[in-house]
Amino acid sequence: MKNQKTSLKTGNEMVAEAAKMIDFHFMGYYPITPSTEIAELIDAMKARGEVSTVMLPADGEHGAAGACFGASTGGARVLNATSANGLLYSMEQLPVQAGTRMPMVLNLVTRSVSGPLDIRCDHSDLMFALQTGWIILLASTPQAVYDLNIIAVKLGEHPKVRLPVMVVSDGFFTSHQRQEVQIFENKSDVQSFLGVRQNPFTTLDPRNPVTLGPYMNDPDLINNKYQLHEAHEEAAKVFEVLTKEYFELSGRFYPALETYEMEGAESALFVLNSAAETTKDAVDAMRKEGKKVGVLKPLLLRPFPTEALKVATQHLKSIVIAERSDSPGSIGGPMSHEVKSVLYSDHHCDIKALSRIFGLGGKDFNEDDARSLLEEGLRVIGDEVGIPSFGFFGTDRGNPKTTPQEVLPRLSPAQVNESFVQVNASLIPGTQRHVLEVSIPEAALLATKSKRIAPGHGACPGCGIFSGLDQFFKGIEGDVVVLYHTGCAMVVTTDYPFSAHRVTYLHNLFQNGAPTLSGLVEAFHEKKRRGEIGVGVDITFVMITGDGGMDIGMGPTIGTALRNHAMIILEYDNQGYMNTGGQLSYTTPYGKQTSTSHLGKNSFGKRFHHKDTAQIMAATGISYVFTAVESRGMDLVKKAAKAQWYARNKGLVYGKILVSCPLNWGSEERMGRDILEQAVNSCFFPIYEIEEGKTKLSYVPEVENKKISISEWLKMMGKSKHLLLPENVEFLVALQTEIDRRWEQLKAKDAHPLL
Amino acid sequence: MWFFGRNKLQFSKRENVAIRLEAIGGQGANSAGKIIAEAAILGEHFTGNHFSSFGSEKRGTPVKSYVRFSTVRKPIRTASAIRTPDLLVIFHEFMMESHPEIFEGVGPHTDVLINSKKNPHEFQFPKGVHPRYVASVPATEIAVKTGSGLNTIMLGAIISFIPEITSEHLGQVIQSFFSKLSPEGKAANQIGFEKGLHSFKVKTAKPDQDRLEPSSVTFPHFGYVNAPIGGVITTPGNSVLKNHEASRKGTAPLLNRNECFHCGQCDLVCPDFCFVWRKNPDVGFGAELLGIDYQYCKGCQKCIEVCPVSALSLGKEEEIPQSEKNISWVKNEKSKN
Repeated sequence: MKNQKTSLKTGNEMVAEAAKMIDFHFMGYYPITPSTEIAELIDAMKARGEVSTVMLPADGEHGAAGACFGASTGGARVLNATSANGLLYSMEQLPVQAGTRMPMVLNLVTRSVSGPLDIRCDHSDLMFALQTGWIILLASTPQAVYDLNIIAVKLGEHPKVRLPVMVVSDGFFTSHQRQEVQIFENKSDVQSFLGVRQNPFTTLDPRNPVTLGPYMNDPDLINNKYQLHEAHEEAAKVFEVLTKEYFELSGRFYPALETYEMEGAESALFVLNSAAETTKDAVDAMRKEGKKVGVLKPLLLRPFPTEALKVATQHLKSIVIAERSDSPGSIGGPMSHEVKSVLYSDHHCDIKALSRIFGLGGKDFNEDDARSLLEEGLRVIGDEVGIPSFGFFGTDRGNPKTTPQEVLPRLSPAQVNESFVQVNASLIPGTQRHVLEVSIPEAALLATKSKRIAPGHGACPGCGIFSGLDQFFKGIEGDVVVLYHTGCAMVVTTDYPFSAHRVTYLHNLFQNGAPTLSGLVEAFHEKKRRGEIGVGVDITFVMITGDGGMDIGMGPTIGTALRNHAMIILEYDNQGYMNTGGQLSYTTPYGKQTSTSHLGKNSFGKRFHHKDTAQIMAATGISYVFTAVESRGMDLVKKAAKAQWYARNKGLVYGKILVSCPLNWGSEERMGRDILEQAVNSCFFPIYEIEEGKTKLSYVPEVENKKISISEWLKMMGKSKHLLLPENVEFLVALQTEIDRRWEQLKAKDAHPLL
Repeated sequence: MWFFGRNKLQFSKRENVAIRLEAIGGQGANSAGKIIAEAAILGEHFTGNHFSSFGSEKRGTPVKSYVRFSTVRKPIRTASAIRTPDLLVIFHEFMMESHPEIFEGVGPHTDVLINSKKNPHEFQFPKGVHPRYVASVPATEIAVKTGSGLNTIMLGAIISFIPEITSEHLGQVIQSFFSKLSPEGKAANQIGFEKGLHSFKVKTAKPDQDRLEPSSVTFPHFGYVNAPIGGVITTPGNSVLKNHEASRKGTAPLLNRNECFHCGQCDLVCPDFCFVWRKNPDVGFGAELLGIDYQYCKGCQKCIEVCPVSALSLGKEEEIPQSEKNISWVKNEKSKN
């Protein structure tokens, strides 16, 4: 046994600890709760020089999976981590990885699949992975997370296997639970266990060219899949060998199917991951009462431990299969069907099997809960009638007398049509273009306008999003329908059963909001044309997104803009993925520290320049693009009014507002406005409009003698002031140069009549 | 050197201990739980675990942090919520009103420690809540005075309720935890810790005293029979039922009506829509600021920064006049129809 040290770590921390030992060549990732910490921790290790892994923050999970696939074809050791919809968004790539037989490791930290959106644990994501061809290992404790990550590398790379491996742990229950763990003291012990990855061929060997990923129809594909089937058969055998080897190394043994108190058991609970650990406590207590119950906990899910399960169940009288995922309409979750198919492959089997769906969306499962399922298993042996073979455990009927109670009056037509804001359009002679004049009242009168968002939302103190959104809506007259991308503004306004939205609100996942709203816009116009909606009804459609939604959703947003639907896309840019803990976004400034761009001897913060989303959107040829800041509310009110005019008369509008995030900028809550003003004065965030192709600057700091260097702005935020240190001067100069270039270009566009 | 003596509580040691910390995101309950767990598991070699339950990664929402340990090394395997804590720590007094569910599972074996300036005998608990000891520590007040983290002060008070963990082990963990702080930060936290240690008041709860009925705000109770299908919420703006006063850190904006000229700048910057306005042709710009609805104010002070005169100033929460607490955004909204 090799030397190890004791520590107290969570599941996510243990993925990072394993990664430190393995020192993967490459990690491609996209942050999603609850797996996000994994990339954060490894990025921090890299900054400290503890690993040399290349960290690639992809533009979404689909891109992350693609990046991992690419790296793995080159023979690299590759890591990824995701959860829930991240897994589903990357799903298309997973059979590609398995079908081309490229090993890598993906940590799936389980979470409920949207919708409705739920960030807590269940296995609905995992169950989608069963058909991908990947090996699936289940880790029920932080220690198992560590050990199985190490085993996964060797298992996947084994010459008889060559498959990607998923290591699955329960979101929050395991990923965020601290337990006493053992960690190898010497990296070399793990490295010599793993050896070097052997590749029959790679895409990085020009002397031995290969065509990887050909076009393969019948009659060949079925043979490729048979090879995959054979690889899984081999994987089961190799797993058995490797776990013994690993036992020699660590003193810890991982069977394909863990059996707990199964000797003499009459009934057992078959259950995955952390809930099985809880169930052991219930079994201990019941065994003391003489009740013959046990636990069956698979560790290997793909390949499924069929033979071990047959042996373990042969003397049982009943089994309860408890699952954190349903397969609606099939009368049982996926595991129920798989376990039953093993049991009943022998026609004479008379084991009574109950299927129970529990703990969806993170609903707690404690010892008492485990006990009641075990008790059901015992009761069904005694021929008690009325025990259903399938059911949900832990649902709540609710109080039928409770009906949704309105606590706020609905916005009346008079309230939304007060005509505070007026737009006068005059056609420029000889063109199709217009000049818009906007008149708005004093801020005080606008303060009496009924808000589209109600108080009581749960944003952080000092959050700039909501003042920004309210300023925008102050400039919008009439009825609106909003679509919010996943992100801060969505999460804090709609925690069930509460909603801060006084107007109709729709959510879709943040790679797909723009197409979703475009569909609704077209349905509105078609229903109106058919007379199903009155001619007098007018709705302004507004999509609200963070800068994260403009990363993962950039492609669909561009497509939507090119189709030029009558809608507004408003991006609140707080310069990072703040809802998931402040990871870098593509709009984060160069060099800024985030939880995925650490500062350290090997890292100075974010490594590429901020995305110029306004210019990208302008290139789609839409009629109106604007930028604004939350610190200049009245400017934003005017731009909102223009946006509404353009959406009604010309087509799609895109606007971007810079808003403060005290939590992740490392700044005081009260200071938001000053920081934003300096972002504008430093020309990091110029405010301007592009009306039908013509650029017009809203504010030129030089004219007011307020132009400052970028460092004046960076020093205001805890997460960027390191760029002022002498050792970082080259990064500061690089950022200043890029900002100057963009600003001069923008001024040239403003000056030239054609730009 | 930090002082790690204990207050003179004579509690007997237990075999299995379950601790639940109830806090608002940003108060450091997760770190406090981690510190206790490290001292118990790595320091004392108990078995145990720690985990926290929270929503998205933000400030201001409820956080629960759990620590379990066994001095007799019973295997601790479950990561389910602690339903019957031996020690319940409430990081903000206001949560007792806004989140009455935090008292779940409090029984005769439970000690309750509350961040509050009140004396322990002044607390009123929901019906049926009968703890063993009740203690209070004015942690917010100490934090405002010393600049210490709230969780450090709470830890100072907590250690007297977990005699199973020796001061030395807890001290080592706390010191390594704060090793990365600036010298000023370290000093502030050290003072905070010591004040927490010495400032709490404790008493045995009287089981027969008058109890408060549970909170009068009834939140909707939906289940599969009555929840609208598809997860739809059919009640626009019902977030107004929520109360965010526990997000404040002891201070709040105070309105001086003599100075206010109703310019509307505060309404442009308030993220929480706390300012209550109505049209009034007799006031400067045709609109009048009626006041601040403190139910939603999280104390960010952006309004104070933007106010062009000195109508808004920073004050302590207890300086909010009672009369101001009647200002209601919802009532004003209802009056518009």
